[in-house]
Amino acid sequence: MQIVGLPLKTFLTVVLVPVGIIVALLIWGIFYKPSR
Amino acid sequence: MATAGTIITILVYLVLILGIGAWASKKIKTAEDYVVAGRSLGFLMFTILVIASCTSGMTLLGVAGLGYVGGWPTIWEQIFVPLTCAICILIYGTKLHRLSQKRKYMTIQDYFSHRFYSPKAMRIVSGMAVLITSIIYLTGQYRAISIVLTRLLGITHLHALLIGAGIVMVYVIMGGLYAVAWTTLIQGLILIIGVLCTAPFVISAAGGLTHINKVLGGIDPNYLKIAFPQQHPPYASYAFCTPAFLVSFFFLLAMGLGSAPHIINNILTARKKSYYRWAPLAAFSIYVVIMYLIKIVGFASRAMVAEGTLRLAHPDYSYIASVEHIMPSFIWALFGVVILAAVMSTTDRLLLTIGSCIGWDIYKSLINPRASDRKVNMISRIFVAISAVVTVLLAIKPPALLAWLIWMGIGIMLACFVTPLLCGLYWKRATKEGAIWSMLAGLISAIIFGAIHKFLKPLPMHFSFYAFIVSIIVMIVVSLLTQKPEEKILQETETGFYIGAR
Repeated sequence: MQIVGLPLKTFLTVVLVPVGIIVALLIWGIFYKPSR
Repeated sequence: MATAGTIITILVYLVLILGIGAWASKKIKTAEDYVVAGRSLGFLMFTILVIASCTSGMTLLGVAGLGYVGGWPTIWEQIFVPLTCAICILIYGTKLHRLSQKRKYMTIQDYFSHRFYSPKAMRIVSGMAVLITSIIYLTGQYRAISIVLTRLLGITHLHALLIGAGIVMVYVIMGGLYAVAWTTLIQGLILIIGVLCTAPFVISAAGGLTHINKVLGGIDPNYLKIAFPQQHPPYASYAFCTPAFLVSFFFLLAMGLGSAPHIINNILTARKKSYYRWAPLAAFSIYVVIMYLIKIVGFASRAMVAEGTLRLAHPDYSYIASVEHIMPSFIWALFGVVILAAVMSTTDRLLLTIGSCIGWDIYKSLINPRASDRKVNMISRIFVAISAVVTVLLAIKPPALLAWLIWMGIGIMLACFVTPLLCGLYWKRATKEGAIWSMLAGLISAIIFGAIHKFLKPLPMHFSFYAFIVSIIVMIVVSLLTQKPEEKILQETETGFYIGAR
């Protein structure tokens, strides 16, 4: 199976890795309390 | 040959950033103003400063060029470099910024000398590593400025070098970090808007992403994979992004680049500690989009070359040539400024890093602790000028191994700074002796492994990774063999396995 001409594994990797990092940084932003 | 539009656009840009330098010079009263912009940068300027300091002369040229040569396995570079901004702000910066506000650190060497209770030895060793890496890196940046200006204005290499280097030197001398921060904000915004406005058109002109991938797969099916097959030596010179190499690439780019003095010193400039909440997310999100687009333009130009619609003199010209190929000439004139902005945003920060290293870390901290701020600023400015002249002389006839030297510079950053920084911040047992020997071992072993890779036998992973491992081992062994740091120092420097305030 291909998406935009890329094998599924490549497509998912190049999309999900940055998205995963963004989610992790979002969680950091929600939970980090600089005034503590 | 350059058109009048190109020349006028470039001149307007250069006059604008010189004007910013002149304006910023009025704000410089103290050494703190010159070196860390009075710790007054707002959220947007701070975030863009971190991003743009990572955006070197090779971003537009080299990122697209590597994509052209290596296909999708090289996309990891576009994840790791934005990640270094987030790591620099979050893992190194959150604690360092809090400490710098309390202890008035001006440079990363101030932190090292405090945490490792070594006002002299640690400053000398870390200052030496800062100067070596910054001068090597700066020579490469001037070379990039020259490549861009030569192509844009049709002038000689020497003239391009003198114009580009002269202007950066003048505004850094005048306005210090205020000038660097304001020009970087403008340069960063120009770069972001420039890439957003050109990359989609190049990708579309190449037939769209699906078509580009189809062409790449026709050249080499491995171009569409997330890594080249794990074999050493690689089956082709471009197939070096194997899984093992990518592991070393992660440490080099995601950890090493963020610890580079010209990038990490930026975290001392933020006005509020609350910026550390969302700046990692903002920096990564903005930068990853820009980097992906630049890389995909590299893929697009490869597809256009394969189909005979574009001709390239060198892979590093793939972004420039693609935009020149598809855009009207007046857009090309504007795009020239985008490239120049990308190159200059690192060059100015490097120059200031060298100047403040000598003015603050060596002259004020080691030679004349009673020196006035005025004198420290004067020394910093003199050494900004001297380092600019020296690196221009090196760049006039660059060493034959310049590309190798630049990689050596980044590799030394990983091997020298990451271990003392991480262990200093998060490991209570890390000692002065451990940090000094770790830094020296990293420096020496990076040079040795770099030479082995270049002259004896290519290594399966980036040479700096081996030196990084050596620096970790030396730090752990020497620290455990030497006396534990005093509790007072550990409390003052908030050392321990935590990030937030306690």
